Amino acid sequence: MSECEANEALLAAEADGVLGESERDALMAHLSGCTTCQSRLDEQRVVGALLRDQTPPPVSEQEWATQWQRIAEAVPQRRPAHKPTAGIGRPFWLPATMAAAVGFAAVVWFVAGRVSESFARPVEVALAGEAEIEELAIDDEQATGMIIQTSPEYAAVIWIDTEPQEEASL
Amino acid sequence: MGTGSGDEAELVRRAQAGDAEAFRLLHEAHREVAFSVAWRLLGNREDALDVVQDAFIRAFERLDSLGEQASFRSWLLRIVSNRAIDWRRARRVRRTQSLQVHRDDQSGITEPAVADPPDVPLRQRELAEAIQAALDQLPADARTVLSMYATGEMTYQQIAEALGVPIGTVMSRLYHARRRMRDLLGDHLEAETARRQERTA
Repeated sequence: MSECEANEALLAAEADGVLGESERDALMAHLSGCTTCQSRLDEQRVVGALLRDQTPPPVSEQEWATQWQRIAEAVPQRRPAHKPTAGIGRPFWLPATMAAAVGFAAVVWFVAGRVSESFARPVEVALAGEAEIEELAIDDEQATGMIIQTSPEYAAVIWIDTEPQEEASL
Repeated sequence: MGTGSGDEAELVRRAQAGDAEAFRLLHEAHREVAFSVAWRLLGNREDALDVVQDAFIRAFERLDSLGEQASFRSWLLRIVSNRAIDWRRARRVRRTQSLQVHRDDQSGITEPAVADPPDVPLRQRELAEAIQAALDQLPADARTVLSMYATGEMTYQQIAEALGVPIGTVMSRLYHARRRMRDLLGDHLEAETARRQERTA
């Protein structure tokens, strides 16, 4: 990595006036001999200023009051009535959701065939993407998996064999 | 209403206990910055208001998951940016020609702005449209970090908390996002640079 590439993030911080003293001294020493980086610093400042100068359209107090009314009407109906947890983690209703998923899979097992052995240990998948997963089907050769979001951070995967077994499943 | 970290923590505790007034005060304290981020992400006033409303509902639904040391604002804006991304995917947002919307307070019906508001110079309107068009072309990560910083109300640390990334990543994303904006704005940027240099000369 060149010295210019190594300084890229510092240019942004310097343009925003948040660079620490020691880092700033090092960056200034580089800029004194690098017109490319000096030019890029100027670009960072101008683009940053342009973006900040774009002010959002106004919203009246009446509009905010109307919005708040809608929020207030929605929250009591939707906010789960459960005990506060200590921090970000699995909500208390996760086991209940898993139990419901188990029950659902049991019904499918009875109707459509044998449930994969992995059902016995539903796998929790940490959600990596930014978008929430409402429901997603995964197909492979032997089983269909359904991902059911159980919390903002976790989802359960239920695997169901696609081919019903010849023998009775019960 | 400004809330210091201690005041905000207290409001969050009260809201977690079901205090409706605390909910309202949190909405009042953070609605503007939430709207500012959503508006830059979506380029549409009405969509931004809808996303803000939805984000607050989701935030209040999940308030119990917010840790005592976490910032409500950073956490809320993470929800706002995620909802805006979902909104764009679901609705295929069309950026309006005008970035200003005038509302008829009597009817509650939003009317599109006059195409050429006489009080806004043409240059400014063209620049605003060019900036929004450029933002629309950025990847989600770049657009989000720019939208948050452009509010002028978030530090690098707060943006890092909202995005769940290190501060160094915020700095790097800002640098590359602004470089990309520079390429997309082209002539507009050169004209604006010259204008600012004249102003400071």
